[in-house]
Amino acid sequence: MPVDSWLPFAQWNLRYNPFGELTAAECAQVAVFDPEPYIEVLRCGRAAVQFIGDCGRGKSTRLLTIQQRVGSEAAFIYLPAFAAVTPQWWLQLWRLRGDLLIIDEAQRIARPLRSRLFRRGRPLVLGTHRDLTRSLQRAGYQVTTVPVGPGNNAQHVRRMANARLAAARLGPGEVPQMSLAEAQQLVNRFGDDLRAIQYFLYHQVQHQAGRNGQMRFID
Amino acid sequence: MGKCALSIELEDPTAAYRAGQKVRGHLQVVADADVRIRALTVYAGWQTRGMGNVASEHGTQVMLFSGELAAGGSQRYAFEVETLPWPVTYNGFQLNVEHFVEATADIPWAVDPKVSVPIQVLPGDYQPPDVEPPRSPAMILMLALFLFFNLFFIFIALSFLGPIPIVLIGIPVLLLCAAGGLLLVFKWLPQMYVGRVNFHLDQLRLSPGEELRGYFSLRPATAIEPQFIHFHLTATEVCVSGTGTNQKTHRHELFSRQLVLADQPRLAANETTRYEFHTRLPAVAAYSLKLTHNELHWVARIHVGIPGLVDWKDELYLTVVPPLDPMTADALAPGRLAAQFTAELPVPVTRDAAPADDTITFAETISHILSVRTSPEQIDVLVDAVAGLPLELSARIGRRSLLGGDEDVLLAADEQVVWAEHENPPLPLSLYIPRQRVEAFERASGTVWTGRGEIVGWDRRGGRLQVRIDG
Repeated sequence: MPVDSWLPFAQWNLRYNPFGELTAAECAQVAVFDPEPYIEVLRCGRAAVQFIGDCGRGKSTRLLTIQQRVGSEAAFIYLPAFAAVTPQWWLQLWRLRGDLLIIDEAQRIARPLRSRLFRRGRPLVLGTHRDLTRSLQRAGYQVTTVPVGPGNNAQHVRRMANARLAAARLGPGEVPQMSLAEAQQLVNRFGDDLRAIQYFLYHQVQHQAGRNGQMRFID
Repeated sequence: MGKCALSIELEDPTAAYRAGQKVRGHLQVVADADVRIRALTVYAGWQTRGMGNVASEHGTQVMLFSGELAAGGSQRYAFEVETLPWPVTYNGFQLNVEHFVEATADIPWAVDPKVSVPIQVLPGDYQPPDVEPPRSPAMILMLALFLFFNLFFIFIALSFLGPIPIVLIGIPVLLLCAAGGLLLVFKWLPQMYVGRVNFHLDQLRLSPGEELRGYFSLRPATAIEPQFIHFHLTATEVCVSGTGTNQKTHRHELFSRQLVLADQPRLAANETTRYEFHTRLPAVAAYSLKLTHNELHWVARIHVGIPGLVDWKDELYLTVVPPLDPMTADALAPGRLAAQFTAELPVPVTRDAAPADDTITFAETISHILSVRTSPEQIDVLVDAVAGLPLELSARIGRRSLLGGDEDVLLAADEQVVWAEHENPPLPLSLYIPRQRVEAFERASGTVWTGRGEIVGWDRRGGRLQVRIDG
C-alpha cells in the first residue's frame, strides 16, 4: 500500500477522487464504450453516426472516445447555445477540416449551413438531442443512429465506476470496486443520468477523504 | 506499430518539494517491439482534480531521447525538472491541485505512452499576485441586455397586438420602470436606510492564522433599528463543470465564520456608529486561487438586516497567500479540514457609539467602582444596585480559572470562570461562562470579546468584578 500521506485517498490506493471531472484523454480512457464498430462504419465512405440522448447520458464521452481513437485526422467541435444564430460559430463550423468531423450538440447547426456541411460528404459523428436522419439521408449519408441512455443500466454504471477507480490507481495493487448491488441502487435513484450518478459518487467519496475502512459508495 | 512502456523512479519518492525546486529521477523505457521515438520528454506540471473542468499547466519539457529502440531493449535516463511555482499542492473538497512529473514518448502512428507520478509541492519563495474580485457586469453589457429585451418584447407585442405605435414607446418605458424598481428595491432603499457606510479592513493580503482587523461604520440619516449587523468571513471553492448549456457552477463553503457586530441596535440619526472587529484566519493551507474554471475565494462580508426591506450587504475580497516562513506554511492543516475551524467563536467586537438610552453602561459602572475602590462596602452597594441589569460589555479574554464550585458560591454547576480584563477603564473581570461556550472563549484568549452579561458580584480578594455571561 502506498504511503503518500498528503494524498487524501492513498489508503485506498487512489491518487485522487475518481469521480471528478477528467480531461478529454482521461474521459476516453475510462469510457465504457467500444468505438471500433462505429469507426468501421465510418470507413465505408459517406457514413454518419449520430448519438441521440438527453444531457448527462454519455454522448460527449462517446464522441471524445472516437476522437481519441482516430487521432489527429478527426476534427472535433462543440456547439454552444445560440451557435445557430452566431455568425462566429457558422464560420468555425465551415472552417472545420478533417477526414472525420465530430460535432457535439449538432442540433444547433444553423439549417442553411447544415445542408451545405452535409453535402461535403465527409464521415460524420454527431452528438444530438434531435434526430437528424432526414437531413443526413437527403445528403446521401448512410446513417447509424445510436440511442444513448437506455443502456445505462446497473451493469454499465458498475463498469463505468470501476473504470474510473482503476484509472485513479496510485500504485500497483487493488483499488475499491463497486458491486452490482450498489450500482443497482444508484440506477434506482438516478435512472440513466450518468452525470448525476458521477456527482453523487464524487461527494460520497470526498466525504471519506483521509478516513480508514472500506470505501462506501452508498449510505 | 512499435510500442514501449515507461516508468518513472524519483530519487526520493517520499520527498515533498518546494515550489520551483528541482525534482530528480530516472525514466525507464522498455520496448516490446522495434520502435521509433520522435521525442521522449519529461516535464513537471500541475492539474486540478475535482468538480470543475480540468485546468492544468506544464513546465518546460526536457527531451531525453530521440531515435530507435530495438525490441526488448531497455534504457534508463536520468532527468531533472523544475516544479512550477504556483499554485502549490492543495487538497480541498471540490477543488484539488495535483502536481506531478510526467513523461511521454511521441511515437508516429501509435498512441503515445505516458506515465505520471504525483509529487507534493509546498510553498516556496514565490508570492502570488493579489486576487482581483469578479467583475460586475459591464455597463455596455447591461445596455445590450436592455436593448435586447426591448426589441424582444416589442416584437412579441407587435405580433399579438398589431402595428400600434404606442408599443414602441410603452415597452421601453415599462422596462425602464421595471429596471428602476429593481434598483430601488435591491440597491437604493437599503442604501438610504443605512446611510453613509464605511467597511474597512486593515489588510486585504493575509496568510492563514493571521489576524484580520477592520471596522464597519454607518451614519444613518434617520434613527434606525436594524435587525442585526453581521460580519462574515468565508472561503468558498467555486468550480465550473461542462460547457455551454451543460455548464454548471458548483460552490462549496470550506470555511465560514460569523461575528455578530450588533443585535437589534438602536442607531441615532446623523451619528456615526463604528463597530471594530477582529478575527483570525484558520490555520489551513487554503490559499486564494484563480485558475480557469476553478477558484478559491476568501470574502469578508458585512450584512445589515433591514426589517421589511432587502438587506444591505457589502463585501471585500481577500488575498490569502502562503506565510513568508515556509516552515509555518508546512505546519498548516490541509484545506479540506477548514470546516473544523468553523466552530463559533465569541464575538470579538467593540462598539464605539453613544448609548441608546439613559441607563448606566458597563464602562460607567466600572468607573464608579474604581472611584470607590478603597471602600469595599461602597463597592458592594454599587454592585447590588446594578446587579441583574443586562449590560453590553467588551473585555479582553484571558485564561480559564481553575477555581471550583466549592470555592466560589456564585459558580453554578454548568458554568466555568474565565478571567478577562476590561480595558477602558482597566479592571479585572471574572466571567461566568455557560459550559457549552467555554471552549469558544478559550480559543478566543487574547482577543477582545463583546456581548451581553449581568454583574453578579465583587470578588474582594481578587479585586475582580464578577459578570455572568448570557447562555
